[in-house]
Amino acid sequence: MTNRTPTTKKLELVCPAGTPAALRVAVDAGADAVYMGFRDETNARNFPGLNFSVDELAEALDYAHERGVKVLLAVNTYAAAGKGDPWITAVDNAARLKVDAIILADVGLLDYAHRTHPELRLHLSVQASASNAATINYYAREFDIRRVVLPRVLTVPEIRAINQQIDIETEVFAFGGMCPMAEGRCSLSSYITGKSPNMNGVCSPASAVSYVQEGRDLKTNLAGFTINKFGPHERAGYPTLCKGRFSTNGDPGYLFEEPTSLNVTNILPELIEAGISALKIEGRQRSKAYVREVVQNFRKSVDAALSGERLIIPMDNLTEGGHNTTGAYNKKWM
Amino acid sequence: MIYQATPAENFTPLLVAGLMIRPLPTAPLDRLLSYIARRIQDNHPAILERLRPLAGTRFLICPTDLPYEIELVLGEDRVDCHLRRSHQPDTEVTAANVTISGSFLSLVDMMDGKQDGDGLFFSRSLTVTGDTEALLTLRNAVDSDDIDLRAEILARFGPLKTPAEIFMSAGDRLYHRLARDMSVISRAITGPLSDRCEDLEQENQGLRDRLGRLEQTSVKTRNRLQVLGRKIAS
Repeated sequence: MTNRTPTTKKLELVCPAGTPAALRVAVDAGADAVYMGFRDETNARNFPGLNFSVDELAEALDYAHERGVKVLLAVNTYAAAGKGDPWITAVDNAARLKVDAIILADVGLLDYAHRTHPELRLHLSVQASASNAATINYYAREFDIRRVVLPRVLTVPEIRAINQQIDIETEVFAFGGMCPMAEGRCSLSSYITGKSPNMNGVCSPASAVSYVQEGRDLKTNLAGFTINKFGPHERAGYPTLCKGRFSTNGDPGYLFEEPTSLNVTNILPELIEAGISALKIEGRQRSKAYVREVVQNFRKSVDAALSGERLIIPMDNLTEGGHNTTGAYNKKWM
Repeated sequence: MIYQATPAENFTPLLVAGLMIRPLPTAPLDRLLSYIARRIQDNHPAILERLRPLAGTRFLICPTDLPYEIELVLGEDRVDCHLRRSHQPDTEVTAANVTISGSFLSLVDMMDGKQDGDGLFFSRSLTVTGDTEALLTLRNAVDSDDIDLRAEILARFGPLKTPAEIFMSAGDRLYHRLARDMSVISRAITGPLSDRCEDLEQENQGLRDRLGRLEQTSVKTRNRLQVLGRKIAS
C-alpha cells in the first residue's frame, strides 16, 4: 500500500448480478450500482438459467433502492432483423419499473428510448465500441446519453484525453474476463458456432461446448473443434475461440490471448486521475461466491484509492488461468 | 465414475469416514437426501422454474472423497435425488447426461454459494463432462436463490433440532481439527517426494531451454551453410 493525496472525487462501483441472489450479495457486499439483464437475447449474457424476469427485476429494484444502491439494466445486444419486439419491450419495461439507467448499444434502440422515455437515463454500452471523443459526443448530442462504458482497448492516457473532450461520465472495466477484440465488433465465435455475443448475447454458447477428460488432460471442444488442451496441473480457462491454443509452425500456443483476467486494483489511482466516474466488474455469468469476494475486495480497494492509498488485491483464485493483467490500460505492444 | 481418492488434497477426515461407513446400508442416507431435495423444491420454487427446460435430464454428482454418488433426475415440476454406491460394476445404471466430480466439501460449498464454480473449474478441482448447457443451467438455477443446506438438514430433526445443531457444530469443529492434523501428516509424507519432483521439473526445464537454444543455433548454422553453398555454386 502506498500513500497519495486523498481525493474528493466519487467513484461508482458497478457490480454484476446474474441472478436475484447475486444481486442481494452485490448490494450487501458494497456495490454502489448493480447491473443485470432480462432472461432473453436482449442482453449480452444470455446464458441458460441466468438473468431476471420482469417480476424479479421489480423485486431487485425494491431491494437495491431500500439500501441506496442503483440498478442499471443492460439491453445491450443488437436488435435482430425483423424481430425487434423483445428489445422494445425490454426498454418499455425498464422505463415502467423506473430503473436508474438503461445500458444500450443499438442506435435504433437508443433513438427509441430517447424519444419515447425522455426521463430514462441512458448509458452507452461497451458493445457500441465508442472509443473516441467524436463518437461519444455524437451519441451524447443525438440521444442524450449520460455515461459511456469505454471499450477495453484504451490506455490510461487515452482515457484521460477522452475525458477532457467530452461532458459525460465514463465507466471502465475493472475486473473479470478479457476480450482481445474491440467489443461489439467481435464475430470470432460465430464462425464456428453460428452465434455471436453481439446478436445473440452469447460468446461460445454452452450448447456448443463440451469438456472431455483424457486421462489427466482436459480437452475443450467448441462446435466439434478441439480448441484447447490443458495438462494435468495447468489451470484452465473459458472455452472461447480467442483463448484457444493453435499450432503454428509446429508450436502450439495462444495466438490471440492467454487465459487471464483483468484486474485494475494496482492502477486505481491513475484511473481516478484520468477522470473516470465508474468502475465496472464483469461477471454476470459467475457465482454469488465470485460476486461477494470481488465486490468486497473492490470496495476496500476503491475506498483506499479515494483516500490516497493503493491497495492491490490479486484474487488469483477467481481469475482465468490464475493470471491477472491490466490489459490495454498499460498497453506496451503498440 | 469410480471412487477415486488418490490426490493428496483428498486425504481428509471425509475419506476416512467414507471408508468406515462404506459397509453400512445406503437407505437412511438416501432418505435424508430425498428429504432435503423435497425441502429445497418446496422452499425455492424459483429454482424449479429455471430448471424447467431441463426436464428429463439426468445428472451424476460424484464426490471424489466418498464412496457414493448422487443421481439427480429433473422432471417437469420435481427433482428426484438418490444416493448410490459408486463403482457398482454389476448394477444396471442409466447413463447420465452430465457428470460433475469434485471433493464433497467443494460441491457442498458451491451449492451453498460459498465457492465459485468457475474458480474450482479453472483450478481443476472440479471436473465436468457431458451436456454443458444443462450443467450451466443447473449451476445458474441453484445459484439464483439462497439455499442453506445446514438449515434444510436440521429441519429433518423436528423437535430435536437444537441438540442436532449442537451436535453438528461439534462435528464441524472436530472435522476442521482433524483436517488440519491430517494435512500436516500428508505434507510430512509427500513433502520430500514433492521437493524431489520440483527439483526434477527445474532440471527438466533447464534441459528444455538448452535444447531450444541448440535448435535455434542449428537452424542458424544450416541457413548460413545454405547461403555459403549458394555463393560457392555461383
